[in-house]
Amino acid sequence: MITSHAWTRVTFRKKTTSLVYLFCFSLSFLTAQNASSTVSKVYKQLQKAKDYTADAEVTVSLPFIKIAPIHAKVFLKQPDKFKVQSKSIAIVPRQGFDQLHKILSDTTAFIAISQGTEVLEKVPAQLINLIPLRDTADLILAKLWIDPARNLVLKSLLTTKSNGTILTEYRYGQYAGYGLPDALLFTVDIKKFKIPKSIAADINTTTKKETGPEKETKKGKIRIELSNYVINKGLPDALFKK
Amino acid sequence: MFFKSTYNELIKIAAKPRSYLGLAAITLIVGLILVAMKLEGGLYISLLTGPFEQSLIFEGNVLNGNLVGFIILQMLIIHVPLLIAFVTGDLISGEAAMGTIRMLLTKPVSRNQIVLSKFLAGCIYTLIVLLWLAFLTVVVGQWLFGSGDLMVLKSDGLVVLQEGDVAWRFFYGFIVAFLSLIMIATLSLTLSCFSENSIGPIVTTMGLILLFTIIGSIEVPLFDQVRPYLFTTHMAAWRYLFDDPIQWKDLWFSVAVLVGHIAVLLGIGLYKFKRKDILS
Repeated sequence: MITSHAWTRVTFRKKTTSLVYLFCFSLSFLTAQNASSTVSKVYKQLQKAKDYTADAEVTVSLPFIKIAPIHAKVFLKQPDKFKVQSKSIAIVPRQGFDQLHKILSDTTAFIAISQGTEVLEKVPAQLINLIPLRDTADLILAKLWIDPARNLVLKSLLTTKSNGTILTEYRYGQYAGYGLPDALLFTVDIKKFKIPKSIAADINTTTKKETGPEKETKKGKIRIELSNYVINKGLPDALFKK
Repeated sequence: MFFKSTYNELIKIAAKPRSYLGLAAITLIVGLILVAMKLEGGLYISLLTGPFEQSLIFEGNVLNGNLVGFIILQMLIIHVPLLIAFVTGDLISGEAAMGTIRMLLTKPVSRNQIVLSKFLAGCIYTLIVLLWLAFLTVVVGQWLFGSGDLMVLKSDGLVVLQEGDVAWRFFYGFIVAFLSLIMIATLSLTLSCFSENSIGPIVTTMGLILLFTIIGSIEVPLFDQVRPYLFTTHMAAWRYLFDDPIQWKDLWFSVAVLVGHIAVLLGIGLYKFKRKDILS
């Protein structure tokens, strides 16, 4: 038999639990609202440059690839057109320049969740996770470190089904008002490269004996310094046709 | 008299139909590769860049004349020695087989000079074959595919050389390739001193190339000690010039091994021919 005192205690516990759930839900809702608002501001800033061209100095430091720094020209037209033009062979990350534009352009495709703040080079940054709402989305998870004062992405970690994970660090200068960086530092995962000597016709190379277990992937870096931006001059679509 | 003898040897080479077989084979093979690369070169590029394409994009004119020239060279440089041996393996044994060697020795030139003039004529023939190969690969390749940076495929990665940094590498690469082909010419000429028919030296040269290539490519510790001294290990020494940075020490070692082989084989050839009983 339940006494009235005990009954009151059970009711109180239930109400407290409900209140805690409600508080947590409200908090997460508010956090999501706050994160979404920050992401919207960033996207709005990026939208200021509908198209642009810029000179690029590409410095590649990747395992398994030796290449000297090269000069290139980059072209971008929102929402999804991107091109690198170079007389030399240019190696750039598959998801780099335009991926963030593409992800942020469809606000119904993800939910933004704030994960607190971190200090990146003395700048307090809001860490926001973007989680896709559709199972079919290519994006698995995007982590953005955003400077809320300037609405700039300082660092991003994008994981997609098709292109793996890429970490990008952004440095801003005179074009920060457009959300356009002066330098980008990409950190990419490179799969171990090994093909038979007979296919490469490379009989001179002696095979190095492995001393321990070798990683299947290694990290490499690509630094792109951007300058001489020409913004919103109206780039024709034909320019992006291959 | 030595140069006149060399000139006569060149006339003999020019008069033999087999001398044009090598040039014709190179023209046909290079022609086929150029057409294939023009039509489906993208597939080869995928082989080069495929392992990186999940994370990276390669922009620019990857399939260019420099790359096509390099691909053809690395394909053919293994087979050109066989075409060279086809002619140089016949230089002395062919005379014996045709019965003209006795008449050759009645000329007022020493036996050493006869061998050396045949050696020099063989070198000139090799140079002509290599120049023709260079013309087809570099000049025709550039004309068909344009110029650009050279992406070199290695078994453990890619090396991208800038366009302005490629021409001198091709030039010296051809010089090193010439040295390795002279080594083959000397080997077949020396074997030719031991034989009375043309087939023996040619087949033996081909057999040695195949045997040493197989020993060189099987990565077992048993062959580790011998591999650096096999001439086939250094046949592709020209590829060192397409490395970044160039392994000069390895390149010079290869050159030394090839020159050493040429000197020793030529010495054996001279020694053998000087003491050869001419019975035919």
